[in-house]
Amino acid sequence: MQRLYLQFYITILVVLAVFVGAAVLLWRLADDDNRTPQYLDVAAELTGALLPDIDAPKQDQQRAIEVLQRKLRFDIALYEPDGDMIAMAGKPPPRFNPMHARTGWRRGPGGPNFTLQLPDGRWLVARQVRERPNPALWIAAALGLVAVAVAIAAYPVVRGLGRRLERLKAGVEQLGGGDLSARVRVEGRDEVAALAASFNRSAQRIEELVTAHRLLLANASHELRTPLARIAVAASLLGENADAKTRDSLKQDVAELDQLIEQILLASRLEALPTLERREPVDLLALAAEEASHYDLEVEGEPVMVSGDRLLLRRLIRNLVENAQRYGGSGPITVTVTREGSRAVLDVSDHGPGVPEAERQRIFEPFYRLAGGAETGRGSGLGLALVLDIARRHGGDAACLAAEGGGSRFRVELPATGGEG
Amino acid sequence: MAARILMIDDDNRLAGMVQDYLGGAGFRVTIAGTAGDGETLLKRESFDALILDLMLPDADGLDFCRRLRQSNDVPILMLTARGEPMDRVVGLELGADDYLAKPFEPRELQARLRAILRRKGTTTTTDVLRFGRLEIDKGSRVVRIDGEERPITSYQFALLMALAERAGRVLSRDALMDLLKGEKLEAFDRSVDVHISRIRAAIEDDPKKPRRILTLRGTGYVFAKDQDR
Repeated sequence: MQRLYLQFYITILVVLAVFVGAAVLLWRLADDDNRTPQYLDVAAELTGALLPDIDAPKQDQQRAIEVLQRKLRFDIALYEPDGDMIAMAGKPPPRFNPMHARTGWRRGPGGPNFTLQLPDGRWLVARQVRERPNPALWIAAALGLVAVAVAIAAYPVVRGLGRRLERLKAGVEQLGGGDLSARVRVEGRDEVAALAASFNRSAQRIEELVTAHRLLLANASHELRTPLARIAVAASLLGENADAKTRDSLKQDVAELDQLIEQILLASRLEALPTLERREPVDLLALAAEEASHYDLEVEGEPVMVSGDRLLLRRLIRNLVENAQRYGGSGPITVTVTREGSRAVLDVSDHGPGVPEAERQRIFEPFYRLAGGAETGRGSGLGLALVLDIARRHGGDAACLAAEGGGSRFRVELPATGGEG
Repeated sequence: MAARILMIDDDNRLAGMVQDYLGGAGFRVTIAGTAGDGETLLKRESFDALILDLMLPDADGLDFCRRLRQSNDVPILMLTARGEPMDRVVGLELGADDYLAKPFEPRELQARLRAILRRKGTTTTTDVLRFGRLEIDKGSRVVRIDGEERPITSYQFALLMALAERAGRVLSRDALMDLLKGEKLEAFDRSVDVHISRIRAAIEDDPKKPRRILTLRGTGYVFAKDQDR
């Protein structure tokens, strides 16, 4: 992933580098300007007036140069128009050649030289006493220092922005992962803070809506069960004189409705929960045998322990067996539990019409019904969706395969734990 | 004398039906529609048992149960909605003596009422393993279904205990034999299978379609852990 703060920071560094480069370039261009500015002519005349005449004795000229040297703190040398030295003060100047000399500042080996041709043709060469390094280096260093300072100062700001955005991202992902209580810290008063605040408001709203939704479902299921409980009691109170068949069918309908309410309630509860509420060691073979006994089915296989929510695993097995009874035709249903390596495998096979290959994945979607399948009007449409959800919650998976000799085979794989038996 | 029952449930019609049904079975049922009314009645009269709905219009059944337990030791049977396992556990932790999920069979309500009424006064309830309608009393080595005693031999009781204490686990015949090593054998030795079928005859509603002790062909036996569905 491209880190935002790095993008910002690299941009700042590039801009600084370009700025320093441009500054140095400009400075060099300006330095190479060869014209003699007006002020140098004035300086030449003034200097000429300060110094003794060209014909004055050498001692006078030497004294004047020494005075100038003390005042300016420059190394100074005075030359005849033809290049012979008249006087000098301070360190000896480099060799002077009037053929190449020109009025103005020049870079030289001992530092920048100031060459001035006086009105009478004499040359005055002054060299600044080297106290500081080359100004070009100096300026480049200063610019570099500024750039480093900006770079250092910018880093925490940019990194801080990046960190806040990353925290925001973590919050959004936590919410997306199903933890509706996810909130982020609001820091500062800028756009990022505003975004964090608006995220918190949205999360709050979503949490309220989902809670209200779940409460509604829980209340609705309670409200639905109230008349259901009355019907169940009433069916029993019909007494011996009532038609036994009618009473049994009534009881079965009550049980079915009760299951339906439970499935809907469970599905909505699982939606709100990202992980398992509890885990305990479960003997899958024993649990399958227990569930299958309610449908007068026997289970074969070997004991395999899994770690999981017993209630959910029970629901998984029940839904598979019920599904096989409902759609599996009249042939025998077989339930087996085996261990394959580190996986516990539960197989529920029937001898029904089977599921076309193209639809074997889709039947695990909520409320999906087989195309062309008889509308039996039974089942919540959530049974297999819950099977898949529960299997995945336990770190396993569920699949629909073709059974040998026709029919379907539903296979659930779960991670097995340690010892057998 | 008829047992006096107080039923606190806001569903008047259901309560009315329960009143009729239990009335026919020899109970005297009084109905309260709210927790407030129930509390008033409990202060004024004495009851032998209480049927308490988890969701009441003016109070949470769990809170009511907890509060009531501080001052009153009347046996409580909670009525809950099915599929909320936490309610069951919490209900019992808070001092309810039993629970029943709505919708319920009146027959089962009556059986459970009789069971908690009989247990009243006997404090050693921890010695009793309960699986739905089945009760295994370790102290007196007695097995009951719906509160009704079922005859089994001492060895069979030990076998049933070995299975029930490991409910939800598959046990091989060898493992069972190991667990029963210390038990004195009956006059004539029979195989585990025969003893199992005797126990089934005593505690299963239909011994041909066992729900409590299940056979796993080639592997062994398992005692069903969840029998109250």
